Formats: sequence, C-alpha cells, structure tokens
Amino acid sequence: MKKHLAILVLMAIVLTVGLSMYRIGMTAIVEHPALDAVRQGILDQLGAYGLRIGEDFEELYQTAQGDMNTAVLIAKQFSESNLNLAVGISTPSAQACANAMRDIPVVFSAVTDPVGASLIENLGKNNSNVCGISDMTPVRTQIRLMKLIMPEAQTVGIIYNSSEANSVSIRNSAKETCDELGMDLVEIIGSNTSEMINALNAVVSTVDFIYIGTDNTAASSIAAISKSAKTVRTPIMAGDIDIARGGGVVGFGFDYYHAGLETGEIVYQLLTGVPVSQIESRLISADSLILYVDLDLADEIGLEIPENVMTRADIIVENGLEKEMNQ
Amino acid sequence: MIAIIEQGIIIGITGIGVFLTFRILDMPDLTVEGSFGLGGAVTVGLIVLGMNPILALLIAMILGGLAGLITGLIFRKLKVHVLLAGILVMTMLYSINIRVMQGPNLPIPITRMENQLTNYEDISGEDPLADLFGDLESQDAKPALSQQAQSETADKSPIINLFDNLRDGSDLFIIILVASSIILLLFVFLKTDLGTVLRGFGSNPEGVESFGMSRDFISILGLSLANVFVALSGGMFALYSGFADVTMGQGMIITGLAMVMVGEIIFGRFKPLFGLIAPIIGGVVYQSILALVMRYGYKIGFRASDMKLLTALFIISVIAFSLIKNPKKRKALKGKVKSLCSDSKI
Repeated sequence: MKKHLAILVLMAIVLTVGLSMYRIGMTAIVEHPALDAVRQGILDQLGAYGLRIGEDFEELYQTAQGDMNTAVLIAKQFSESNLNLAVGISTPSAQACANAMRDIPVVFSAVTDPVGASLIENLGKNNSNVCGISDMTPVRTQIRLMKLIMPEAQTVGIIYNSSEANSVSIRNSAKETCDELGMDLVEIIGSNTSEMINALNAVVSTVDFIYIGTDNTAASSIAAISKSAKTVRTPIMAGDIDIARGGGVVGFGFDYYHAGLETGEIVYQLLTGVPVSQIESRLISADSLILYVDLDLADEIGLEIPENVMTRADIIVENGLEKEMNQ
Repeated sequence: MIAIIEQGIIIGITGIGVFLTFRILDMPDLTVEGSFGLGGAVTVGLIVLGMNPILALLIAMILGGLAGLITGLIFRKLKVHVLLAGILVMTMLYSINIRVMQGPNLPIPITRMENQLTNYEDISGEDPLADLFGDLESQDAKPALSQQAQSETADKSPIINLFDNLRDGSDLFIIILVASSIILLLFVFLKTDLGTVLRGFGSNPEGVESFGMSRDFISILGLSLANVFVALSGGMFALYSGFADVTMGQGMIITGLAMVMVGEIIFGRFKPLFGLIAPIIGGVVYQSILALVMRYGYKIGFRASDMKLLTALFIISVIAFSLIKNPKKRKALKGKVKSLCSDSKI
C-alpha cells in the first residue's frame, strides 16, 4: 500500500512538473547553419530571461529535411501536441504551421516576406494568431554601399536560387535599386551548387561586383563562389554576415543568430501571456545590422575601401584576424 | 492522429499513380516528381484567381495527365528510355511550375489581395547607412510607407478552400470521399476491355497487339492516367497544407514506392480492388511510421535526416525478400534484366 502511495505521489510530482513546463514546438525546413543559428538565438534569448530548457520549457525541434510533405506532417503533429506556441523557421515551415494551427500562437522567423507568403496581412499588429520577425535585408542600402565603394561599377551580378521565395523578393528589390542607380543587373541563377557555379563562371568576368542576398543555396556554395570570383578579382557584397565571412569583401546585414535573439524576445513575450494581437510583426531592428569589411581580401583583389566606410565598419578583418569595432 | 490519416490518404493517391506505372505497367515513371508539384501549382494558382477549388483540381488533373502524355510520347515515339523520359519531363516541369506560380512558392491567401513587402528601407522609413550616402535630408522627408495604404484597395472576400483545417473530421470526410470515388472509377475502368489490356501490359507487353491495340497507345495511356492521380494528390496536398512550393514533389517517387510496398505487405499483391486500396492504406501507415520516428526516434539517436536512408533500405529489403520467397520470380527477373539490358536504348 505504501509502495503504491509512493508511486502515486511520484506520478503526481512528475505530472505537475510536466504540466508547469511550457511546451514549444520549433521546426525548420532543413538543417542549415543560418536556420540552426536562429534556433540557437531563440533558445539563448529564453535562457537570458531565465527560462531553462528541460526545466521551465520543453522544446520539440524537428526539421523537415527539405521535404514539404514532412514539413506539413510536422506542423500537423504540432497541432495535436498541446503546445503553448509553435515557431516556424523558414517560409515553408512557417506557412505549414500557420495553416495547421489556428488556436495557438505561431511565431515565424527567417521569412523574408511574411505578407507575400500570406502569413500576416501586414507588418505591425495583426488580428490573427501569427506574428514574427522578417529577415528582409536592406537590399537598397547594400547595393548603394557597394556603388559608393566602386563608383565606376556599371554591372551587378546577383546570385540566387530561383526556387527560394526569399531570394526572389530580394532580387526584385535589387532590380529596382539598380534601375534607380542606372546599373545593369545580371542574374546568376542555379537551383544547386554546381548549376550556380556554372552560371557564375559564364558571366563572372563581365560583372563589376557580385551581390548575394540571403540565399540558402548561395550560402552553401559560398566557398566555390568566392574562389571563382577571386580569380577574376571581382568583389562580393553579401547581405548576410555569415555569407560575408565565407568569402565576401563587404557585408552589410545581420547574422541569423541576432534574428534568433529577436525572435526569442517575441517567444518570451507570448509565453508570459501577451496576446498575439498585441505583438508587432516587424523587420529585424537596425541595431542588429552589421557592416563587415574584409581588408585582406580587398587588398588581394585590389579594391580600395573608402575611409568613411571604414569608420562605420563594425567588423574588420585584417591580417587574418577578425576585429570588432566599438562605436 | 487524424492529421496523419488525412495526409496519408492524400499522399496515398500518389501511391496509386506509382502503383499503376511500377506495378501494372512495369515502367518506372519519374514524371511523378514534377507532376505532383504541377498539381499543387495549378490548383493554388487557379484558386488565387478565384476559381472553385474542385474545378481547379480537375484542371490540375488534366494537366497532370498531359505531363504523363508527354513522357509517354518521348518514351515511345522518340525511343528514349522511360527513366530518362521521366527525368526530362520532371526537369521541364520545374521551370513550368515556377512560371505557373510566378515564383517558387505560392500561398493560398487568407483574403483576395496581393500584398507584398517592398523593401527594408521603405518599410522602416530610414536608410541604415543614410549618413554615409549623404542623403539624410531626403530620407527625413520620406515618411514610412503606411501599411494601411497597401490594403485599402484590397478585395477582402475570402478565398474558398476545400479544407477548413479545423480537425473536426470534415476534412477527413472530403478526403475519403475523393479517394474512394477515384478508386471506384479506376476500378471500373480496369474492368473494361481497355482496362484489362492495360492490366496485362506489364507482364506481357507483346500480348497487347493480339488485342489489336498498339503498345505505344497502352503505355502512353498508362503514363497519362498515373499522372492524373499524382496531380490530383499534389493539388489536394497543396490545398491541405495551404501553399504550393516548387520543391514539393521532391522525393515523391521513393515515398510513393514505399507506400505501395507497405500496402502490399498488408494486402498482398495483385488483388484487383485491394491493389488500389493498398497504396492508400500504405500511405497512412507510412506517414504514421514517419511521425513516430520523428517524435520518438531521437531517443535512440535517430535523426530526421536518416529517414531517406531508411526508406530506401526498406524498399530494397522488400524487393530482396520477395525474391527469396519466390525462386520462380528470381529466374523470371534474371531473364527480364537480360532483355532490358539488350534492348534498352537511351
């Protein structure tokens, strides 16, 4: 009898501990350094607020391995898992979550155009269960910055995968900016690394600089892209600091870890009981934007970086060392 | 659980298509990977234009059949190996699907308006490096683009979807209704004279001619028919998941084969009606396994990325087992491989 009582008490304890834990479902379309960094940022932000994983909250994390069928299955599973909220990292994962769950909050991250993806009606507060952070990158600023560094530049080559929704909206912005500045935009498209490199090699000598937004395929191919660009001394401007680190001369944007931190902020607010309708969906804040300059690479390809750009740089790579500049 | 059944049946319809080509016609058809996406792209594309979802699905099915027809024509008329013909059509469909959706991904919008974010600078109302460009003044003059301005002209009438995603069983009812009616139609068709010839084609292609029908006609018909089902499955899947994506067909052929084989393990092979139901049940079982593995697999060190390896190993082991069980077939297969090697033309 005593034994049974002990078991009962034990079960009650386990149950209450289990119930008092928040349950968060996180899903990404694929395992990818940028998307993994978002997840890490979210977890770290929750940690910074004193929420410990396994004690204060339980994280269900699943990636769809690039398979839409799996992405939808994961989202539908989440909808039956008594979650407090779900986080969809990347456009298809967020769409699948938003479609599967109407009664619990869905937070999106690493989605460039949440409006075009039908996740929300507009930025700011929305009367639905979906909110989050857009990873829209300041394309116009990036291209104008490069034009400032290379005033004689006439032709820009943009590398992207036409099957990534994020990259297509970046391409549209880039086209607009190039038209405004009177420059030509050459599209270098590939649906995988080898196609991308072939397309790049065909035109690399005709462009003045290469622009890469936040394209996932380009991010995975950056080593090969930078090698190919270096041989013809063409600089690469990256809209994502992680890509810039992989072979860009200049980078201006954010790293996905910071995107994760800002998403984590929203997740924390939702967990503390703020209703979704009170949370603003927004772009990554300008404070998270980083200007990255690789002087070693600039020297190697003979590109001169103006003094005023250097004074604004947040990260400078010199003599093989990365220095963070405090401003 | 209800979600697994729903999704299993939808994907299982692709299984029927794969069953038709792989099992009945004995022709591995890779068009599936493209026509699944085509079904999704066309269905969502038409719905966005305001079409009724059922009509959109029907058009998607016709276009899926057309894709299969083209594979068949390349295969029979140009004498290209059926595998390559399928890959060619699948590759073409990749570009076509992006054209149809006007981009790689097309969501079913909540309301009938085409909103898109413009760019970072317009939305935030500031250029992050404005001081560098020396145009601070002009930026100040430019107010942040108001979000309301975008939606003022919007038509707020809701888009009609076939599914409500409420987990109240109504979605499941629609899915079962669609699945059972197409199975019934296909079953009736396979009982007709033409259907009988089609069924005999895989095991005895030459026999078709004794019925006065050409082999070209039967194989093209079979490929078209199979892709009608695949496109229907893709279209329903897109409606069900709320969006179409150009990559949604990726890996469907292996998933389809796995579903067919799971179904055969449960029902046995080549029983007319059960043969058609088997892929559907196989789909449900396959999705359940997938869900279980994703939910509990990590406890034994399993990662979601291992799923493709396991699926392929499963298919290989099913084939191996069926050979061990049936020594007669082993010999028959040997002969077939030889003849395939001698008259395959690429």
